Amino acid sequence: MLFSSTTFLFGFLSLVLACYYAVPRKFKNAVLLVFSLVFYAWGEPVYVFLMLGSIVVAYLTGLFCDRQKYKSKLPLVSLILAICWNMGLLLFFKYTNFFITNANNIFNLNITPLDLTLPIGISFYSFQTLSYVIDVYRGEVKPQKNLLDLATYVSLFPQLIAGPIVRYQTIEDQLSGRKETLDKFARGVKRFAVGLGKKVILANNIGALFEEISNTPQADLSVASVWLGIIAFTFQIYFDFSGYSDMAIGLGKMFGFDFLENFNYPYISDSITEFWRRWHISLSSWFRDYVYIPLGGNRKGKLRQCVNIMIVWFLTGFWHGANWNFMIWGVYFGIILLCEKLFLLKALGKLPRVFRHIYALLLIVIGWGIFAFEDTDKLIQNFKNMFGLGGLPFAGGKYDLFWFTQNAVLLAILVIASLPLFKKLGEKLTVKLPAVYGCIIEPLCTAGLLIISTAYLASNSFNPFLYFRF
Amino acid sequence: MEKGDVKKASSLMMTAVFAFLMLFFTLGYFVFFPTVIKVQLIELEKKAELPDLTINSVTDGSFEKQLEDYMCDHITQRPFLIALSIKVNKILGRTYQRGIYIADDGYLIRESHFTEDDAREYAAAVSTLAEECEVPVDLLIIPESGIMLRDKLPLDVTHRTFDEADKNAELLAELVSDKVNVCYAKEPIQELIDEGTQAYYRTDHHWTTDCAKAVYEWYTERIGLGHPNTEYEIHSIPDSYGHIYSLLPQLGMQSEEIRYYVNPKGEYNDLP
Repeated sequence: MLFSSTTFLFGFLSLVLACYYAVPRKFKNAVLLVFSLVFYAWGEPVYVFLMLGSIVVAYLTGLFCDRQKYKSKLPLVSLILAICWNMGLLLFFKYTNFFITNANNIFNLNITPLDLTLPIGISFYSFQTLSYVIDVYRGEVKPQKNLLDLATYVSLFPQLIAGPIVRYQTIEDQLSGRKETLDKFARGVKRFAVGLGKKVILANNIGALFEEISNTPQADLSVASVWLGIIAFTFQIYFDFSGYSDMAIGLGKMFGFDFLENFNYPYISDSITEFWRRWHISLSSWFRDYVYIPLGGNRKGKLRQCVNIMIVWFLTGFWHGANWNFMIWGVYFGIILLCEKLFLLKALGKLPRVFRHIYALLLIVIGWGIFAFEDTDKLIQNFKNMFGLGGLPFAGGKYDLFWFTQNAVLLAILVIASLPLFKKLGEKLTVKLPAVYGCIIEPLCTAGLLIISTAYLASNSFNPFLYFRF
Repeated sequence: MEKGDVKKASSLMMTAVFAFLMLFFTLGYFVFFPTVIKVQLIELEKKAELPDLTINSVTDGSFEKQLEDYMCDHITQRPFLIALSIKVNKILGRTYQRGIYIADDGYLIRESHFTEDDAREYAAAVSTLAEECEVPVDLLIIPESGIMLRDKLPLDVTHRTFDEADKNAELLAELVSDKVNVCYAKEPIQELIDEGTQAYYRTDHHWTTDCAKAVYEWYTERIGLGHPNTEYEIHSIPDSYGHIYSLLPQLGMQSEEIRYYVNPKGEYNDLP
């Protein structure tokens, strides 16, 4: 089930909110758990049992990972079991056919790929359960003895299928001790509405442009239109994913949870280092805490640090998908980050901010150009086209003017919405006109966003969700 | 008002707005709500029905998809919501939606799909008819509204589609056999437009009856029958919307008046 669907908004959400606030405190987690399982089973009626299996494994291995309680090798064995289970599932469902296809190509074999579908959200909940067990092993959190509470944490529907990756330590106290307040609920509503609008109004609209350009015959394109397509994808992926994160965080607040931020206006970055502190924060911090630091981080010399960075970024790319383009994308950013760490940031610091910003944006857009095409031939052709090696004219493609004029206003809005302008405006108005802003402007704008988003959903608009496949 | 009170009031307001909208749209599936803002919407496709809940339909995912289709089709205020999404798209600069151009003066102009292959196919069919017919065959080619109303189209580049359609229509005229008398009605329609008469409906791809009458009179003169001096009674059906409007309903769009001509001395068959 998608958040951006009428089934979710006017079927599921209405019901879960009504049930949640109708029951006493001791049953609230149970309500969330049941609805979360229904939410997941809605799209994965079979693989919901796989997720339940992961929850049980996390519960049991978590209990035995307590090194304060068990002095033997049991905690280590439990940790290894948890890693094997979660990574095993991920490798099997996500990467088996990738390995088979590549083995067939390289070694001229004839192994039939398996008939597998990727369980929705497996990349997210695997990382989540694994982080729980690791944190227990490290002594950072106590093992959760209540299976229901742990299951609620793992399966919590706001963040289940597309993040943010919620660490158990950030939510541990909230599982039993959260308070639902009117203020938090209202903030949740506003956040949810903003996220829904970002996804349905902005991301889907600009995504249609990218789809159109990437499906246009080569002969009708120009270098300019190819770049326009990648820029469209750049905006689509940001508003799609950050919109979904906003909805997740907003929904969490409606139920009394506070999730950490996942995006912080990444397109205002001056460097790739800064970009990755602002983009998909929950994933990059997961890799930092559970891969980079255990590998030694920057504590074992420069060479080892470089190796660690490349490992982390290769894995980051690998996590995004079972295709070479994702791995290239990860390595691409790994190399840039290395260069920035070693010498580039210092050099960039001497440049005016505008040039640093252009540098960062250019590399980010090129990165998305790698990310956007899973088909290797299309990827290579796209890059040839982008850099004038595809035999295309610089401008004057068949639909260039049409695409630019049809999307000029939308692109301007997307640029503005990528900046923290509205946020700053809201903060100023909250101080200067608290009553008017808080009681009239904000609720009206939120209502407008919700109604317009509903309008788009009702008209069966183009509605893919990019991060669903993870 | 104290800061704390303001915060409480604003939270209450936000919650109330959200609760109202959720209740309104959720209950709208069970209770009939009268139309808040009227938008005429002619449903061309059958609305989705409530899917059957079976184990197979759940496990293969069809139940979920069909339920979503059902909920989208039966949401309260649906015509208004569809028109609203079109309006917002227009504000975002999208003057081309669903294959239709939102042109000046309230015109909705459907993009052309008349290809060179179509022209060749029609030419072959009409030529065959002419060969087999014992009576003269006339081919009356009516240009699409986008060919005649280019000045109303939103963007220069869109003219290319209609340039091609125009070229293909001329190709059709060239390809038909010499036995066919071809009449491409651009000239009389252009004259009508120059006079300020509406030649095409704003909300439909068809010509108006005024245009049809003008072309008819041009045609009869062209084939030597002379100008028909019929005295018609003019009737009208007000407050109408055409086919294209039903594909792209617009908030606040002015309706059309369909005028039709009746010859009081003519003999008409009773329509079934």
